[in-house]
Amino acid sequence: MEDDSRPLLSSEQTGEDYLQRDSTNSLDFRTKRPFHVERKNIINDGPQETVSAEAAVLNSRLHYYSRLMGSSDRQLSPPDHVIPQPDEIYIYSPLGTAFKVPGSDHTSKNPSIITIFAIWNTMMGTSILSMPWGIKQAGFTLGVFIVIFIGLLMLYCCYIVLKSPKSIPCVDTSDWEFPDVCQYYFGKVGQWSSLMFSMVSLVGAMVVYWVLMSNFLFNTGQFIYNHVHNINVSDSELETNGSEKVICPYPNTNPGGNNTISTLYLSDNGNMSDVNPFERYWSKTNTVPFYLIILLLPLLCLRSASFFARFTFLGTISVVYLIVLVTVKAVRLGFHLEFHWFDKTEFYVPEFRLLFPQLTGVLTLAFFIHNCIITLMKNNKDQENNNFLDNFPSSDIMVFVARTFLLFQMITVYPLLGYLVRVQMMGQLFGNHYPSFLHVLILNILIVGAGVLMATFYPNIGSIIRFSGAICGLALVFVFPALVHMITLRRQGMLRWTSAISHSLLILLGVANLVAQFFM
Amino acid sequence: RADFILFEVLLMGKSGSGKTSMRSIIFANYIARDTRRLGATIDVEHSHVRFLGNLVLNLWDCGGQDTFMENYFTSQRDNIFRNVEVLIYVFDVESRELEKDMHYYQSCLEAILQNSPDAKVFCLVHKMDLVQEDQRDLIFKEREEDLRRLSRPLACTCFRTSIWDETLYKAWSSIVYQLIPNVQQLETNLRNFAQIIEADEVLLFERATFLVISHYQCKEQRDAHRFEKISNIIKQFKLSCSKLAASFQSMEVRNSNFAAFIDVFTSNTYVMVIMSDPSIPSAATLINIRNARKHFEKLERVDGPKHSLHMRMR
Repeated sequence: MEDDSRPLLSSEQTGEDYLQRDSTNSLDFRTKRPFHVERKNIINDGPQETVSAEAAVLNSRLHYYSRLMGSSDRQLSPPDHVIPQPDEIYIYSPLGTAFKVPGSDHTSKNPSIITIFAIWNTMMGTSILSMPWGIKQAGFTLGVFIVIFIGLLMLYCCYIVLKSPKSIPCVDTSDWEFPDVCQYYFGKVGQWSSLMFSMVSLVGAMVVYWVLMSNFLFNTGQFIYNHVHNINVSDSELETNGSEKVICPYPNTNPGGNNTISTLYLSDNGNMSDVNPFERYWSKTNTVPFYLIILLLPLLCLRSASFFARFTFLGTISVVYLIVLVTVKAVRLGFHLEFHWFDKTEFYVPEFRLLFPQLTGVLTLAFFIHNCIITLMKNNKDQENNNFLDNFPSSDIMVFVARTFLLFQMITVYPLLGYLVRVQMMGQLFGNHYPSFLHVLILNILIVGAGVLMATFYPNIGSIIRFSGAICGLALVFVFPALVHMITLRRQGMLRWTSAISHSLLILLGVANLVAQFFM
Repeated sequence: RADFILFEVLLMGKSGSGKTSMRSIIFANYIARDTRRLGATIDVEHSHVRFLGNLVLNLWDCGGQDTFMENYFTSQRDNIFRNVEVLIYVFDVESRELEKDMHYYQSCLEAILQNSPDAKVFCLVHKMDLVQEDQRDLIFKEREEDLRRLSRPLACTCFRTSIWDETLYKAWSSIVYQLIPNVQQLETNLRNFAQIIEADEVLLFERATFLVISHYQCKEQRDAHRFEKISNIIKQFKLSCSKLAASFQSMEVRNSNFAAFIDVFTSNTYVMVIMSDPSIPSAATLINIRNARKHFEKLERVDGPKHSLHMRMR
């Protein structure tokens, strides 16, 4: 081939010949030519074409085949061995130039920034809201160390998961996922257990989503109701007096006296006849979770989830907004950090606490699906407030915006998660992604039921996250990758004692993480 | 009144051997979505396409189950294998069950011998792109010998094909070429026609598949793949037309260097005429084509071999 790096249409020979040959032709070939058709001169013997004949006819075939099938069909997609070599591929730009693909690696890699952004976009999620509580459970200093340590550990596990398909010999693993690798090494057991564990993480995430959505919907409704009826929110017993209100424990200036405030508060709730009918029909745990069913169950039964995939960018925006929100609040409220290393005081938790496995449980899920950085947070003694946004009174406008945003984002992500669960379960059990409406409906009812039950009886997202994170992390982050890695090294004869011991330690760590969740 | 005897072209082969993709590509039909089954097939998927006037391409997609194949060949045999003009059997070159494949092929041949002994048999060794390039000829030759041996006393013609190169197109062009009645006569007349009207090149396409069945060129052309490219382009255009419930009839492409005309020719064919003298007005060429049409239609109607036993629909 001739000088390949020259842009196609700046060559002087045939382009000029065309124009000189026919001065009556008002069409300017260079501007009107479709960008993917190679030059042809049927009269003259022009210079050689820069595209090989095989590539040209393959291009024609691919165009035709792509018209024969739907966009999601892969039956007529060209396999890799059929695509011409990189030095025969030209990228035609609509502006008329053509340039060659630089090297053989570049065709399969995205620019790094895009890959990074895609991973970030996928992982960012709702564990952020539980991170403050998790840090508190571990103590601030220990919490920071643990975040870093677990992050590095899971990075390493992710690295060996990524490497695992490449060391399988004699098989084309280009479209394998980690469950396929597990099936290769451990047979049916591996396939079914990796499926089950990834189901745990997905269903756990969906349950958390349901709890959070109920929470946000409740608060949104409450805010609108209060706004419309001009009611001042009366949780002033627990609020601070400043211009930025935060729900804080009230300093008990009279330690010996009767604590009448709290008993009054309790008895208010006990007197049913004074309850506002709105509060009866719009209750965070009793009714709102059920209202969500009407909206979300039909969405879950849709056959294809590609519509919802377009909304993933909302997750990024929500996280950015949360960061902005936290920064603004921190600036206005000020830092309140006191370092008490091992013992508890009335308002501050110690820096090192024995409850740290709860943080590791949360982190296992957070790093597994989500990612989280925000840790800047004050203190809160109340166990139930393991949702960051619950620490602000419901009349705070910035938080209201955050809740609405997140509510909308979750409503679009929830069907996507449901679709993933359905595809994996139905694919494995029945071999078909949509065996019948009845099958899919039963599965959806089970998932939604689990979400509603949790939202009604146990809405502590921190606990849900840490349990499901520890369970699925045990299998898919610690045990399977480490085992696969050790077996690969063993088959290649490169397994050293140090490597075997450190990977076994990794497995033990995963088991310990899970066991510790039950004891804390 | 019209009396048709429809003759069948059977496209058979094991499930997953590529028959449906092949049929879609050659006939520009959309792939039916439910041909991809992940469980065992219980029933036969059956579809037909009309072409070459009185021929119907019957695609029998047999499941891979043994019991099914046995039933199929005993109970339905006469039904399926009567009036067969052509049997095209597709073998997947990567198949791990060679014995079974050959066994089914032989069963088909026995049924053909009993019911339609004059049928032509073609064997396509498909998915050749999955074989390493330096081994393709060797593997194909082995298979061809085995198949020829197994097919006696019937004569089978073997092709190696893949949807990712020109072999599929060439194989089907050859097959269709052998099915056209009076094809040699058509070719001679085509040459005369081209020389009379001073065309650079004249192509004859089969109507349903746009496979080139005959061509004449007065000088060397540079692109050896032009036939397949034109077929693909026209089939894409036909697909677009059908979306608007319109049907493709004719096309003229002209610039300062050439003029090309694609038009209906006979009941089974389309013609493409390429003139490199742009000074000849379109009307002249179109009149020539119209006059030639009458002549060629008469050729087609002449009583040929017995398989053209049909009366034209009025």
